[in-house]
Amino acid sequence: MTVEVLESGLYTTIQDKGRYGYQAAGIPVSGAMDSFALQVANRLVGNETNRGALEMTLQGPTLLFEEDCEVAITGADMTPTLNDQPVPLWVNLYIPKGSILRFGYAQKGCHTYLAVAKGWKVPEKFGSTSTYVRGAIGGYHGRVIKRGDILLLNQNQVNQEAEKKMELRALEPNRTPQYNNKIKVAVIAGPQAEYFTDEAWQTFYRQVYRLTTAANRMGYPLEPVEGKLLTRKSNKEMISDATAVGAIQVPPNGQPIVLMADRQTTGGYPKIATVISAHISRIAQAQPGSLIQFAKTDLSRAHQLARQQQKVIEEKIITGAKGKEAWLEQALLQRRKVIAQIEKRKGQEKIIYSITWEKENVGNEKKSKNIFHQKAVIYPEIIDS
Amino acid sequence: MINKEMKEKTKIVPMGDTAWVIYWPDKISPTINEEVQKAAEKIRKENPPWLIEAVPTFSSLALYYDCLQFDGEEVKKIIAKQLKNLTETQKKEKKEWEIPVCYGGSYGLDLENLSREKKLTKDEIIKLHTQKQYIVYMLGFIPGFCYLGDVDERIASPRLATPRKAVPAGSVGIAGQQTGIYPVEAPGGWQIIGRTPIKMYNPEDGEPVFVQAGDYIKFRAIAEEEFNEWKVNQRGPVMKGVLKQ
Repeated sequence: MTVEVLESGLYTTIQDKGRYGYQAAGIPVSGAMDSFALQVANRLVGNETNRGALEMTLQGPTLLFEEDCEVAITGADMTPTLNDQPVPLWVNLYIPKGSILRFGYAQKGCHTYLAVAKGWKVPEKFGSTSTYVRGAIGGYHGRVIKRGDILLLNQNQVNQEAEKKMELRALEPNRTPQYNNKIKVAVIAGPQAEYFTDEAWQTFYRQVYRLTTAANRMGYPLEPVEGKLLTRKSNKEMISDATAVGAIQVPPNGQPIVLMADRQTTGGYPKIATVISAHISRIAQAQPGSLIQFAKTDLSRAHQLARQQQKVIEEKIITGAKGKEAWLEQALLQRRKVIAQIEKRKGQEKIIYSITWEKENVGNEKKSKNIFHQKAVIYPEIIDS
Repeated sequence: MINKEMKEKTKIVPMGDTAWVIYWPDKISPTINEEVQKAAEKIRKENPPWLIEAVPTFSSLALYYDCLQFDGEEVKKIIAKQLKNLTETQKKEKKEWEIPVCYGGSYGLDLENLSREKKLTKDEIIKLHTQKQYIVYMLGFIPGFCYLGDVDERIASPRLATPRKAVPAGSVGIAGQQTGIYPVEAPGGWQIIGRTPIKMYNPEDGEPVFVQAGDYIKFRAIAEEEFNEWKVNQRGPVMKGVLKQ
C-alpha cells in the first residue's frame, strides 16, 4: 500500500490537528494550517477528523498511487488532475491503482489537503502525526516530502468489494469556502492590548495589511499598505509569555506578525490581539500579496462562530442519494464539466458507462451527452442493479 | 510563604477564544515564578475537562481550553476560583540537574569578547557561570530551550546586535541576566560561551525534554576530552537530586 512521490511540490508535510501537551517543554503545536479543510477532507473519506493528511503549500506534488485508494482533496484549488483529467475538490474520489495524481499551483488559497481513507501510515510522535520540521519529528521522517519518497497507506487488506461500494460524499456546495485575496478576520483584543496607543488601535482596525512573502508555517508577517506603524505607549520590554495560534505579535518595527501552526511556544513581543479560531482558516489560506483587515469581536461571538464551523464539519458532509447530487454539483461548480462513471452489474458481467455532464445540463440527464467507454475510470458511481 | 498581596494582583486576560492567561506582577522573580509553577501544577493535577494544556512562563500561566464544548466565561470563573486556593497547593517536586559544559574555543565563540568587555579572565567568567545554581524559569522558543536565571551581574551581557543565523545544538549562552542552552540548531542572538554534549531535546525518548520549569540547573566546566567522551557514549543528563518544597 504505497504512494510514490514523483514531484515534491513546494512544501508538503503530513499534518493532523496538532500536538498538544508539550508546549511547556517548548515543543510547538504544529498541525494543519487550515484545520477546517483538514477535518472536512478526513470526513469525506470516512476518517476521524484528526487523521494526518498531506498539507501542500502553494504548489502541490505529483503522486503515483500503487494501490486502489479513496481520497479527498480540500482547501486551495491546485487544479488537481488524475491521469490528466481534472478532478474536483471537497468530494471523495476513487483512485485506481497506477494512477497519477498531479497538483499544480494554488489558483486561490494557499494550502491544500489530501486525505486518504484510513490515513497515511506514519508513526505518532508525542500524540500526533504532525510534522514539525525544526524539531525533526512527526510526519514522514520529521521532514517535508521529497521526490522519490514512498508514502505508506494505513489501508491494510484491500477489500475490493468494499472499495467498489464507495459511496459518494461531498461537502454541501454552499458551504464550500470561497478564497480570495481580500480577507477580513475577526480578533479579540489582547493579551498585551494596553501596550498600544489609541492611535495604534485605530490604525490596527482601519488599515489594510498585505501578507509578505516571508510567510511560513510559523508566522504570517504583514506589511501596512498605507505604511502606518503600530506605536507602543512605552519602549518597556515585555517579559516573554506563551503564544497561541492567531496571536498577533508586534515587534518594535510596528509591523504585525500573525502566529500560525508552527509558532514558537513563547515569545517576547507584545500581542495586540488574537485572531478568533473560526477565522484561522481564512488567514491560513491567504497567499503572499493578499490583503488582510482586522475587525473587532468578542468572546461569545467568537465561540458562536467556532461552533458553527464545527457544525459544518459534523453535519454538512452529504452522503447517500443526496451525496451523489451534492458531489456532481460540487464538481460542476468547480470544473463546469464532470465525467462520472456508472457501473452496472448483470450477474457476473460488469458494464461500465462513462457520462459527461456539461454545466448547463446539470440535473437533466436527457440533454446530457452520453458517452460509452469500456474503461474511463475517473468518477465512480456504483449502481447495483 | 504565599504572598497574599501578590496573588491579589493577578489578572486573567483572554488570548483569543481558546486560552486564558493569568498574569502575575510583571517581574522576573523567583517568588513570582514559584507561584506560577504552583498554579500550573495544581491545575494540571486537577485536570479539568476543559483544559487542553497549561503553559507556565516567567510570570504568567496560559491555560488553553476547548471552546467548542465549554463556555469561556465559565472557564474564567473556575480559573479565578482555583487561584484563590493556591495556599493549600501540593508540593512540587523539583529536580536538580548538572550540565557539563566545554567553555570557550570553537564551542564558545563569544567568551573571548565577553572577557574583554567585562575585564575578566576567561577562567573568571567560567567560575562565575558555574558557581551558581540557576532556576529554570520557563521553557520555550524551541523544544527544550530553558530560560535560566539569574547570572552574576558581572557576566550579564546584552544580546548580539546581529543574531547568528545558526547557533549549534548544545550551545550555552547569556542574554541579559539570563543564561540558557540551545537544544537544537536555531538562529539566535545570545552570547555563546560554551557547549554541552548533553542532548537537551531527544525526540527518540518518550519524554523528549527532561528539564521542567521550576527545576534547577548547575553547570560544570569540562575539558574537550571529556566533552568528546560524553558525545561518544551519548551519556544522558546527570540528576543531582530531588528537592521537596
